[in-house]
Parts: sequence; C-alpha cells; structure tokens
Amino acid sequence: MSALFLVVPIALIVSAAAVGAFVWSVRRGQLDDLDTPALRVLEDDDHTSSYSGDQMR
Amino acid sequence: MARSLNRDIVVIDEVSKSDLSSSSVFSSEKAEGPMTVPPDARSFVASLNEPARKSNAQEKDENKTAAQGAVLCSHCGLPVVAARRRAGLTLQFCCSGCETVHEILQHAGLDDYYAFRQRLGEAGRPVDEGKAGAVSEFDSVAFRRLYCQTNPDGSQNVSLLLEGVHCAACVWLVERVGRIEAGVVEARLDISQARLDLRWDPLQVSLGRVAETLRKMGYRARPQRAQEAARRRQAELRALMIRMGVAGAAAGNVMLMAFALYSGAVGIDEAGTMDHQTKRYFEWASLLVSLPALWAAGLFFRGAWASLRTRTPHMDLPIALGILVGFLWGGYGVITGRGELYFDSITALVFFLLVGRYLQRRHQMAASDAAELLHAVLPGEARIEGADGMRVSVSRDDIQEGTRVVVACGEILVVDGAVLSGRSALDKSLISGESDPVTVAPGDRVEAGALNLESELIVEATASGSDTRVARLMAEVNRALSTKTPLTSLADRLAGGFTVAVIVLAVVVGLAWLPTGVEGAIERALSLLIVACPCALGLATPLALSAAVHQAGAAQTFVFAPEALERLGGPLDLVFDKTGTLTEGRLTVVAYEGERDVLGLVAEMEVGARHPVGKAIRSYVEQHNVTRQAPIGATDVREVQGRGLETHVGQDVLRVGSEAFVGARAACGQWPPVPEGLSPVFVARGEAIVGRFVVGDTPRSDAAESLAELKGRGHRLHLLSGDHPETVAAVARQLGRCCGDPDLFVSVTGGVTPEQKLEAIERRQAEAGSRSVAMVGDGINDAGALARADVGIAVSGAAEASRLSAHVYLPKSGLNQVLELVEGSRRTLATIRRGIGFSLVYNAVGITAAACGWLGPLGAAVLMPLSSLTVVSNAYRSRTFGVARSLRVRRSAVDEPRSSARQTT
Repeated sequence: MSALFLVVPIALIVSAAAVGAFVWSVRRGQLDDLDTPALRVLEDDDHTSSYSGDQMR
Repeated sequence: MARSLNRDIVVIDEVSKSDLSSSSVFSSEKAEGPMTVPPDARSFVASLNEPARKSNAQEKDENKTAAQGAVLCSHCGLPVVAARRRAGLTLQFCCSGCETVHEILQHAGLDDYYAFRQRLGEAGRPVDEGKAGAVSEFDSVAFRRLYCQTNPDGSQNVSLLLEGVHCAACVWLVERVGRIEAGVVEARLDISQARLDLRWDPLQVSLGRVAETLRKMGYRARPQRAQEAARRRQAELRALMIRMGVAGAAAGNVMLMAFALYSGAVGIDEAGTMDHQTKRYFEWASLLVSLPALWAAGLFFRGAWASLRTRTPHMDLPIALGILVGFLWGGYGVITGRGELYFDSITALVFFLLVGRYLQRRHQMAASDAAELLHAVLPGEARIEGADGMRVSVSRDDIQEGTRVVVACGEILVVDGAVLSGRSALDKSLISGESDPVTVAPGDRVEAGALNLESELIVEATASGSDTRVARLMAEVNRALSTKTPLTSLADRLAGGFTVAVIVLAVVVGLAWLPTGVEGAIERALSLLIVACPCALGLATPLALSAAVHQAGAAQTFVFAPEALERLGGPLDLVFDKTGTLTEGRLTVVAYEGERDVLGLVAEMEVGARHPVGKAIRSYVEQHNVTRQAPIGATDVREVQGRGLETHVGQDVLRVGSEAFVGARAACGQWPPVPEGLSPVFVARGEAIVGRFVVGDTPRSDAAESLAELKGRGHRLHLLSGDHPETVAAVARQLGRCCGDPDLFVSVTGGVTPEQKLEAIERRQAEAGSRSVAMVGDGINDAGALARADVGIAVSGAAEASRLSAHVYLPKSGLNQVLELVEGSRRTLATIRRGIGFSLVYNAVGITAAACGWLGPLGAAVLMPLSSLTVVSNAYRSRTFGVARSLRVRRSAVDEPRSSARQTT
C-alpha cells in the first residue's frame, strides 16, 4: 500500500511530462502536417547527397 | 447531311499524313456546293462528337497494332498520337511539354521519379502547355512586399499553393526542385493543404523562375493569400490538438485507476477485496486527474452556453450537460464517499468527442477577407504616365484619381475610369459574364477587372483601389461570407429535442425511484443523465463528414466546408451560371465549310490574335493539323477594330470577319442559317466568299445529360447569367432540346450584374423553403452569389476569387462533376443518418438500463466505446465519393480519353 503512495504520483508526473512534451511539439508546428510525412516514408534514399531531404524550418 | 459532315472531318485527320495539295478529295465536295448544315443545333453538335469518338478509337487501334504494342509517352504514360511519333527512337512524347520536363529531370538526375511513380502505381498526366502568363507576378515588388519574408541570412521564404499535387511522387519531385534550380535552399510540401513552403536565395535564382519550373512540371503555383486567416486557423487547430492530447492523457490514466477500482470492487465478501483506504486514494486520484479533461472540455461548455443564449439547438448542449453532471456528481461522490463514479466514461467521452471535432476541423479551409479577394482579382501593379510623358510602375494602391494609367495589350485594368486615348476591345467576361468583347474608344467608361485585348489604352482613373466597382463587389462577397448563418447539421437539429427528452426522463425516473429512498432516486436519475450523454451522437456527423471529405479529395473534389455536404445531400435549388460553367467559357469553332486551301492563310493572319474569335480560329486550324502551304508572308495583315482582318494575296484582298465586314452581302444569303446561339465568321477572297466558320461558346458536352439527371433526381434547376438575355435563352433552349425537356430550367435569367446575382440568390433562398440553394459558377461575377448561397460550388477554371468564396471546388472539367458531388453528398447524408440511428439505439439501451437500475459505471464504460466504435466503422467503411465512377461509364471517350490509358502501362 505504501508503495502505491509513491508509485502513483511518480506515474502521474511522468504522464504530465509526456503531455508537456506533446504540447511543446504542437506549439512548434511539428504536428501541423500529418499527411505528408506518411508519404515521405515511401521514398528511397537519394543517390547523391547534394540535397538533404528533411531540414527543419 | 450530317453524314457528309462526318466524312469531312475524319478526312482531315487522314489528310494530315499525306499531301494536302492533292486536294482531289475536296474538289468533289466543292463541286456539290457548300455543305448544308442541319439547322437543328443538337444533331449538329452531336454529329461532331461522333466522328471525334471514331477518330479517337481509330488512334487507339493504331496504337495497339503498332510494333511493340501501344506507343506511350515516356513522361506521362498516355498514348502518343501518330502525328507526333518519331520513328526509331525509344523515347516518345505526347507533347513538347512532356519532352521538356523529361529533359529537365534527366539533367537534374531526378529520373528516379519514373521508377518511383511506377512503384506507387500512380498514372502520370501530360504537362500543362498553357502560356507562361502571370509568372512574372512572382518577381514584382508588390508581391515580395505582400508574401515574402526575408531571413537574416539573406534568403527569403514564401508559401505557395500548388495545383496538381496529388501523390507521393509529386511530393518527392516538388521537394527536390532545388536540384533543378540551384538557389532553392529548402522546399517543403504539405500535401493536404497543397502548400509549398519555399526558401530560396534571391541572388541565385528568382522566384518567378522557380514558379515557372514548377508550372512546367505540372504544378501551377499561386501565392497563399489570406495569410492572417490561415494563421488564425492554424492556431485554432493547434489549440484543439492540445486539448485532445490532454484529454487523452487524462482519460488513459483515469482508465487505469478505474481498472484498479473495478478489480478491487469484486471480491469474496460483499465489500470487495480492496481496503477502504486504497479505494479512497484511487477515487481522489481519479478526480484530480479528470480535472484536466474538464478543462479540455471547455469548448463544449462554451458551445452549449452559446446555444442556450441564442436559443438554437446544438450538439454541444446535451454533451455539456452529461459531462457537467458526471463531474459534479462524481466530485460529490468522492468528497462525501458515497455513490458511483463515472470519471472513466466521462474523460473517455471528452477525448473521443475532441478527436471527432479535430478531424472535422482539419479539412476546413480558412475564409478570406475582402482585401485578399481583391488581390486575387487585380494585379498589384500598374504603369502610369506622368505629365512629362514618363511612364513608371506603381503599386495599385498608390494610384490617385485623375492619374493617367497605361493599359497595354493583354493587361487587366486596375482602375475604374474613362478612356483618354486609344481604341481597343475589352474582355469583360471575368467580371460580368459577357462572352463578347466590348469595343471602347476615347470617352468611354471602363472598369477595373476587364482584360485589354487589342491595343494600348490610356485611362484616366476615376476610382482606384477599394473604390472600384470590383472592390466593392469583393466587399459584398466578404460581407456575404461573414454574415452567413452557420450550417446546422442534422445532429444539431436533433440535439435540442434530445436534451429536453433526456432531462424529462431523468426527472421521471427519479420520481419513480423515490419510494426506495431519496439518495437512490437521485443516483438513478443522474446516472441516466450521464449515460445518455451522446458520445456516439456527437461523433456521427463529424466522422462521416471527415471520411467523406477525404474520399472526395481522392476523387478530385475539394470540399472546404464539410457541413456543405449535408446540405447537398437533400433536395436542392441549383442555380447555374452560363459562361464557363454550362458552356466551355471560350469561343470555339464549331465547324468550317468551304475551301480548305485558304485555311493556312487564315491561320497565318490570326497568328498573333488576341481577339477570342481569332484565337478560336487559330486553335481550330492547328487542331486539324492542316499542312500549310509555303508561307505567303501575309505581313500586311490589317486589323479593323473588332470587325475583322484583311490582307493582300497577290491581287486579291483576303478578308476574315463578320458578314458586314466581308461585304458581298448577296453571297452570304446562299449559306444556310447558323444554328441558334452561334455566329458566322466569313472568309472572303476578293468579292467571293470562300468559306465560313461557325463560332460560338458551346455548351459542355456532358451538360445536357448531367442537367437532365439532376432534374430527374428531384432538384430544381435555374440559369442565372450576366450574358445577353437572348444568348442565355438560346443556350437554355438548346440544352432543353438536347435532353428532350423544354422545361429543363425552372427559371432563366440573363443580363444580370454581379450585384444582382447576389440579390437573386437571396430571393431564391427566401422562396426555397426547406430546399437548400446551391450556386454553381466560375467567374468573379459569381463570387458574391457563391458566398451568399447555402452551398457555393466553384467549377473548373474558376477565378481565384470564386474559389475563395465557394464551399466546394471542382477542378476537373465537365458538369458531371456536379452530378457526382450531389450523388456523393446524398450518400454522405445517408451515412450520417445511419450513424445517428445507431447511436440513438445505444442511447435507448443505456437509458433503459439506467432507469431500471441495472447500469453501473462499468456498464457505462463498456457501452460508450461500443457505440463509438459502431459509429466509427459506419463512417469509415461507407463509400461515398468515388463510388460514382459507375456514372462515368456512360461518358463518351471524348470526355475522358485519358482514363482508359491507365491499363496499358
């Protein structure tokens, strides 16, 4: 029982941290486009490295 | 008679491969005299469709019997016509555009594109060979000021909307435009918004060049206007997503704790195996963790409050009621230690509903404001002439009254004013819908938005910027857009009655259980309220709409306001514009009778033509691939303003123009009358008339069929156009004849101004009762009507202002697109009704169980996901758009020659 007093709050803190990370990524605009990344997965690697595909803005 | 006409047209195709000079084929025709044209326009036009189909089929047969099977374009995969085939080469192209793009990709090392596209099984499209036109707009100072941001390192950013992006291969190619144009630092495409975020170095390459490269590859770019609205929408979506995430985290954790509570509630003895302390601990924890979900549900509370204040029923009302009761009753239960807790159901409900709302909002495009609409219509810059005669380029907004504005040939007027000098013809079709150009001379009043067709004009501005008529029209459009009452969905209409019914039932149940004790009665009543909370009901509409909009997008139908689909599913009053909607929107040559030899000369004369008739004649001659004789060098082509062309050939004077211009009136009478709605253009050599073009803006080939089908389904059709009433009536009669129904249209109105169109829609809305009024149009003159109508549908070729003010945009040409839209909407409405039906069944079961006292929190926790799952499956497994493909089987190959090529890869 005493373990629960410790474990449950810790779990909730971890959960809150996850939500915080989620909110941060939404605010940064990372989740604005949910469709195109799914298509980019299908691409092969380019032969030449002159263009690096996924630069962040 | 029609048969001889067939033969004539087919013969031309064959002749293109042999020497035209052996015109023995024609001489026999000539001996019989000019061919008679059936006065009935229907068979006339139909007879033209038939031979076209035949020659298409002929071509396909030829391709199939070619040496190694079909000869396909190496770029887009469509068949290459015999005339363009190059013997002995492995690379074949259907048009010069495809050839250019292929070369570009080879040079840039991007030919992986073809393998990539093949792997994904996407068909290619031929490259758009349209004129380069407005690409220089991208390099103008005004454009840079409005749309580009400069970065500290000197590079610039811009957001462009691209047309034609539809698959992974497109994403791949567009994002690698930096390999083709050095200087592009980064290109990132958002496919659902069709938006390209571009960063480039202006010192290395100009934006206009990049846009031109994209256009050549098939992706026409335009700037993303309405940036403020787009930012607001992005902020709204992000806020909604955050709420969704928070609710999800809360729901998940509460669910885990509920698991513990349920497991501990069952036990050997009645009290369960969990000790009291732990139970209280988890109950408190559930309450605390649910509070973020209560915050996330805030938008339902706001919606419910608005609903109560305005006394309009909305789905948020019963939702907010259920959530509030659940929290308050649960909170009371935790604090006092009595009663059941429903936190797990409530938090999960909040999460599901937020997901539904997010999915629905995702597809909505931002609205635009009047300034943005105006930008879409008029160029941002113009040239003015100062007192000293110097000409300088200024921004449109800086033009004062009284300024002399120079309007060159091919430019659009940016001011209202009076012509000071120059004579020309103006194309007003974009603003007024009139298909005939209007001649102007010094002293005539002109308006912003007209296209100058012939020669330079100097106009003294009387109104500029927001005072011009077209700007006021855009303000009207904006007003119509912003004062439009939101479309209430079926679920919303049910919501009011549903809430009342649930409250009444709760009271009744409470009273019924009163004999067993006050507390028990309250418990029953409140649990009923909680379980009746319509999770499924609140999801039915958003999910069905989201799925339908997605499927519609795949079928090239872009829905900006999902709620419009519900409206389109019911009985409609469909109001059609004429020019560009029911008709092709440009003058085309319907037929030519007479001497063939002279066609080559005529084509030379019309080489630089800007007049619509001239362009029509030129494209007709090019299409029929008439081999030209050695160029006579018709250098002294003289154009008589708005009436015709003349040139000298040896001793003869060759004239192309109207009956009056060509003279020889006596000869004109020998020709049979021209079908209704079309005009003749004569070719005369000297005194003799040697040929006649029949020119007109013909109805689209599938217009009659689609309209008849729509009428057959119970919709009422109207025709509302800015073109001359006689022309409009003629087109209405023609379409009526084609379907054998003279009363095809309930009302036919011509000669209306854009403002009058808006009023007409308002009048129709007042008369329509329960029917929704849908407007189908394409020009700027339709923008107001599109904004005011219950549903605005912009069709292929629509001006940008119309696209911005419409609910739905149909980029594929053909009126059958409207038919498929209506059909898909009907199915969507059926899906929504089914979903609502399912959810009501679940609600009934839940309410009954709660009333009888059988339902506990566990029951509620099971019932709700089950109902949600049913609704989700119903929405996503329904075929709404795309099923209509069966309708296309009836289409002739003329309309869709391309789709049949897919199998031959």
